[in-house]
Amino acid sequence: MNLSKILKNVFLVFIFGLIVTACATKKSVKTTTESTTTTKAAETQKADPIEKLDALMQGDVYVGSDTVGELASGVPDRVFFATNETILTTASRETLRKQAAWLRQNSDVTVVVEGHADERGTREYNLALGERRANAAKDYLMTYGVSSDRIKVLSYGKERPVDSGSNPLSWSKNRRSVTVKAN
Amino acid sequence: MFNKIALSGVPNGFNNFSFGMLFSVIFHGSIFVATIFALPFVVKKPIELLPSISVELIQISEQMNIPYAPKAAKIIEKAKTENKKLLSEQAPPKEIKKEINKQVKFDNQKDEIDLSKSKKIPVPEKKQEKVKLEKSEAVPLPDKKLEKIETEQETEQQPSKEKKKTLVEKEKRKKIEKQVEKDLIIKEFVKKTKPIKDDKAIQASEFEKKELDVDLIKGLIAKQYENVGEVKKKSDGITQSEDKSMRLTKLSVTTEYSIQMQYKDCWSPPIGGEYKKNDYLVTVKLDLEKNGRVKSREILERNRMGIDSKYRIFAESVDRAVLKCNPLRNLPLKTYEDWSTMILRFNPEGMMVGQ
Amino acid sequence: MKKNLFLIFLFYVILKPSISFSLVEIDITRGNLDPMPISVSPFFSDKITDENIKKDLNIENLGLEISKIIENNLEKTGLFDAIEKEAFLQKPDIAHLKPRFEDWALIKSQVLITGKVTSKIINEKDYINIEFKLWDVLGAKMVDGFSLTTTPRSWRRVGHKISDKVYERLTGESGYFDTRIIYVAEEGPKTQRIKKLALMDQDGFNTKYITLGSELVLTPRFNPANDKEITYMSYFRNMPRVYIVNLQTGEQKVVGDFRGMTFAPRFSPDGKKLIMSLAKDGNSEIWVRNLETNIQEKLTDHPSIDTSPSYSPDGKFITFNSDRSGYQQIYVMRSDGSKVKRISFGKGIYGTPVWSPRGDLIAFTKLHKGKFFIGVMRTDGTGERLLTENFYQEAPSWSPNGRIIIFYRETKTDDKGQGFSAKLWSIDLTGYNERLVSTETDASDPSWSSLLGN
Repeated sequence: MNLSKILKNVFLVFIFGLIVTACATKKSVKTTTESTTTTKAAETQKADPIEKLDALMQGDVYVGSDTVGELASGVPDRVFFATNETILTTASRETLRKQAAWLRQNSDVTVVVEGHADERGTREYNLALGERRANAAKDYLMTYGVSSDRIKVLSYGKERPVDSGSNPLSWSKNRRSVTVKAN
Repeated sequence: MFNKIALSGVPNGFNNFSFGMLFSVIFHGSIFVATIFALPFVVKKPIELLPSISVELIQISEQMNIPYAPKAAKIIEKAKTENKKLLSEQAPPKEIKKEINKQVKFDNQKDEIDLSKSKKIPVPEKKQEKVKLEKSEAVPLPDKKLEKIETEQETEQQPSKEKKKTLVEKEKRKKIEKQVEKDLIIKEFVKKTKPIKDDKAIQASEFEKKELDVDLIKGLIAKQYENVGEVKKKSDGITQSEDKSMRLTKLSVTTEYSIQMQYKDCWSPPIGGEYKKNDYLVTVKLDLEKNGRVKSREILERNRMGIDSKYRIFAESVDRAVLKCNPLRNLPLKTYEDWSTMILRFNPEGMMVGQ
Repeated sequence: MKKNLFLIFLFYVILKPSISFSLVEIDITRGNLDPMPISVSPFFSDKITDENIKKDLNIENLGLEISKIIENNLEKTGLFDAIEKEAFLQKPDIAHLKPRFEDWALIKSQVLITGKVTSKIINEKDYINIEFKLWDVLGAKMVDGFSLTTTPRSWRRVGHKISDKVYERLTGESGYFDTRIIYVAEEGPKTQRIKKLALMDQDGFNTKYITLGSELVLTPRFNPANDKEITYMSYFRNMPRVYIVNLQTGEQKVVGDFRGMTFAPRFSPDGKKLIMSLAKDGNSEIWVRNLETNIQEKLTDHPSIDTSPSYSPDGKFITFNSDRSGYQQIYVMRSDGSKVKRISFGKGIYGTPVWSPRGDLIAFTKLHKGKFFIGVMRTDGTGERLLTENFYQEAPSWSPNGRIIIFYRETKTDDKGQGFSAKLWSIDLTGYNERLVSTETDASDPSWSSLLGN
């Protein structure tokens, strides 16, 4: 009697365990498919590697690699900002240090730092915001040894978005400061 | 006890008091009795008619110069056939049968309601309500629709584009409907108007008016306009003007209200300008003929019109309204002397659109 | 008999209480908001005039066209309802001489406009004379009118001037029909928009392009004092700066010689000064430059972004946009930069403040919970009223009579980034009568001129 009872219980527990783990697996499968579909939808029709949504934005700042060009080999040409912010993130500062290093090595190059804003603001204020972002990048380059007469600042406000979408991901890609070679 | 007092003739202290009381009671009683009997004596009609009856009907054709719209006529026909029993008991219908149809219907309606009132049977009253409601829909008063449009407009704070578009469309449609209905009514009027022997039938209604039970009217008016959906209490000029009318005018509440509603339809003040509250008042002295036609009109603030160009433009809108509401309808012929000259005070305070 | 008399006497005494002999007085406090039905009769012209006009302008029926301008203008206000011409009973020539008012009353018209066009030759040059009359149909009398002689080419302006006269005469407000709108005409993909300065009559006709589109142009504004000059911002040679262009001569010149980006320019009400923002080293301040003396002065001094300045109509105050409190808000200061006071305190972000020509209101753009609003508030910040809401809209500009606000809207793009468009819209101060302003291309940044001079 006892034995059969024990066996029954063990059997039940075993079955129960299977069910639970099965459910767990189902859930995780669901999440990955969801994130891949949203990622696909959010990005443009380029053949981009499928990344998870949370890897593209940290808080409000774009951290992906789409639209990011190169100032020089291995040197990203732009940094991104949070909504209404002009503060440089850690990632931004790292990028700018790379830019500064390259510029110190190529001392005859002059650049224009172009500041941009997303479309979710009034036009004139965005011009000022873009100018501030560009100057934030320029100031940082200067602290890493690039002289100010090599760096021009130009704000485009919201006039030249790089992504024409009307969603938070597109907007985050547009909040940027881009360093462009001038000569 | 009573006999003793009557016979004694010598008043004691206490008896004095009782005797005085008795005397006073007798006199008051006789006056009271005289009142009761005096009424039927003066009346030419042998029927005792209660006042509240034709509030709704008065509004539509007190003076018979607005005919019933075709639908309403049908409904009244129905009501008439439903109460054939009542007909036979009454004298007036026989008398008036000689005259035009609609007058007969008028009286029948009255009778039906009269009986219902005296017997306090809920069912016939319901019929009355029903007929009333149906009629008020069948004879579309332009005011009702306007009310609806206005409340729609006024309750919206941040109208979205779509809402506004449909509102504008709705207004246009309603406006067209209103126009069409107006045209219909005018057409009917043109067709049906004949020299009516107004005096007889109208005397009846006039007499009733003198005995109008104010509270009852208030109640009936309130009921009818509940359905119309008047939202603003302020705009319910009823209570305010009603008080005034009781004091200053001899116009009935319904007549005054009818005039206000007519001008509401005719008057489009140039809203949107910078009108400070209570700053724009235009007083018009109106001389009217018996049929409601404007004999002469005069704006009393001539001086200000000459000086203040904004005021002048405002006053011109009033002038246009007076010319448009010509003739004024629903004016009781019997009391012509009361309203042959009237003062209208136009003041847009009820309409200031926010700036 | 005696008994009857006695009873009659009693009845009289009892039943006739206080009788007042005062006149009936009635308060009329409600009218309606219906548009006034008006009829605009096609203007009458004789055969010779028709031939001359055909020759000069290549237009068949100028009288009809002028009446259409007037009808269109008045109907657009939402205050008037023009009756269909098919319903008219009287011919234009007779109506202009002596209207049969009953005919016009019959079609429910309250007001009648008639006119006449005559060609004239003065000093061997062709002119046209346009005469108009405004009639009160119900009152059966003429109320107003005038006669103008001008070059044939300006015939549309005469239609607008007549509309202004009628509007003013019937509403008490000054009109806004003989005016122009300057705006930015846009084309192309959102990421590479081509923008040109465009000028048009307020009813959408006579569009002219002032710049070619080779450089980015933004935020053009009229000189309110002479409406022949426009100030705007251009990226000519990749240097974003403020310019002034003269519409008659086409001459463009940079305003000032600032180091840094100048933008958001506006004229003072007397047209003698220009206020704008200067952005340098990450900070934007408001500057004013006297266009006659060339003396310029900084008005704000704060590390925050200060931009979008706008003068009050008396020139004594300036309202502007600043984020010194952390987010964009609206401020008012004296025109010398002193006494800065914040006036916007509602929830959300406020921008683009513009002072009404009437002086009592400031229009603005507000962003709250992801939605954009156009609104107005009193100059002390009270009485905030939001007029319209949209996915994206901004940049209100006032009509010269302070009654209408024109602004622009952009649409949301779909997942593929397609479907972007920008259009001009206008709305009445009361929040009603929201309308699309027709432009040949997409459009943004509208600005309304004053009533055009002669």
